[in-house]
Amino acid sequence: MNAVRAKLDWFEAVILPHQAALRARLRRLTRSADELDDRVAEVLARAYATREWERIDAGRSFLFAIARNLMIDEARRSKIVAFEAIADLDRLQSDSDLEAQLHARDELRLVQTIVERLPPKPRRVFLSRRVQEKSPSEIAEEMGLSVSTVEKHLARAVGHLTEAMAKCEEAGFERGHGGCRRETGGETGRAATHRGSGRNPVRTGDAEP
Amino acid sequence: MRNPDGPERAEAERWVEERPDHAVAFAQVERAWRAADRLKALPETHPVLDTARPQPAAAQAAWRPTRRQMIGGGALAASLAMLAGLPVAWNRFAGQNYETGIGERRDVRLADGSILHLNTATRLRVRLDADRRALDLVAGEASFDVAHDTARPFDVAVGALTVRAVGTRFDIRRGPQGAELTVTEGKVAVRRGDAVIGYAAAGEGAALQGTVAAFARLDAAAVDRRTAWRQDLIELDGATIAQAVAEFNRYRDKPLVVGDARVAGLRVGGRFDTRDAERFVAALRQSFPVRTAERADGATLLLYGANGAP
Repeated sequence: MNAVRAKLDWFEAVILPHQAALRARLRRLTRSADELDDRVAEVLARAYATREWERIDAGRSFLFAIARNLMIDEARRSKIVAFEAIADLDRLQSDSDLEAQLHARDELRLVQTIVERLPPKPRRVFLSRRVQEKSPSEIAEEMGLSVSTVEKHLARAVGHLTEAMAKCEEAGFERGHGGCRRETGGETGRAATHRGSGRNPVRTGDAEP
Repeated sequence: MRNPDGPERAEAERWVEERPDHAVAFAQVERAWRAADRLKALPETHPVLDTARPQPAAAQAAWRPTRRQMIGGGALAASLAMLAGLPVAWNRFAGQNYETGIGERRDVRLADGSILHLNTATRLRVRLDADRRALDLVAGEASFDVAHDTARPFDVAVGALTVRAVGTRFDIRRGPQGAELTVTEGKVAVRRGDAVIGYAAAGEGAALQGTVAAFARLDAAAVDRRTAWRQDLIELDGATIAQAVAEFNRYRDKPLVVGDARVAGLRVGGRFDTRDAERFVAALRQSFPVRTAERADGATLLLYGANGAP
């Protein structure tokens, strides 16, 4: 077994499904959007850097524990300690590990939403590459673009999808806005309006490669 | 490009290992890339797949440059390039490995609450995904107490076939000639790829061989016999000595060896501890014209004739 591959698989299967929950929790403890991004990134990097990864199968509590430590470190370093911040750390106690993961159906709906919202060129490039499995040079020729422009469009599309998946909890995204609910801080109500509203029959599980 | 050990893979590994944030970026991008695979399950005429469709006006309005990218352009491009270069070699089934040595038995509780009981000399790979619990019985025998979760089917791969359960209890034993499935609670589906080739409910079983499965009803005694190992027991009911010896040898470093054809065909019954073949051998010597000798490599030979006689 390839060690790097195995660790990445662990990270994608055990850790990343909980990053949106981590983000939602940290959002309430963080003032600016940039600060939130930095903290989430730091927690994820620490999670990946752990040596004992093979023993960790509860991603949610693991991430929350790292986040707690990070917040405590930060509080120690800063001269002024906000009492609310310390009290809020209790929000980083994990509840059920199975809650708030993005499930197969939601995942497809999320992908659909993001793809629908893409500008025409990145969208066409993405679909040609990912669904029709055309090569970048083939796509470049068809669209009259350079290969490097095709790659830029593809990166843009994938970047958006990646970001949406990182920020959206189960049922937490809305079709109208694409992506997720807005990150304006404060308490986040759960938007569950689009659960089960898919118009098309969706195969789940079986569609796995 | 498709060479599993090509330079692309070494390069990708170096980049990923260089810094944790590289690994995080790669994993994020790969996860999104894999998720997009689901689009392939949509009918070709689905509007989402229509490349000529214009961007909805509402989206255009919302489409403004984000304040900053979650994953930097460089890391994103690098991850994408790697994904394009080596999905085949890197996307194979991977996960947690559980193994037992000869004579060892081990219970494992998974994060989803399911319990795995591994019998002797067993290798089992486990991967828990958001939409599927994927296991691969590479060798040996295991029983599965499956935690109920309809959203995440519990799939055990046995070579080319898969046994799928939702919340149930079953046992699979792999041997050189194929595998034996025994269902003790609930119901499982045996699948070949996406097609269900048959079901087995409690008290039923199947012989799995290559890509085919033969289903059968089992009487209660047979089910007990097949699952006795969970109490560290071997139950023999008219098995030949050759069969019984094969059973004990699964748990032993130093095998029992049948050294005479006249011994091999004798039939035996009884309950024995898997860890105590000596008692079985003693019972043989008492009831049958069987004597024993130790071979230089530590194996115990079962020979025909009363002890002490040539």
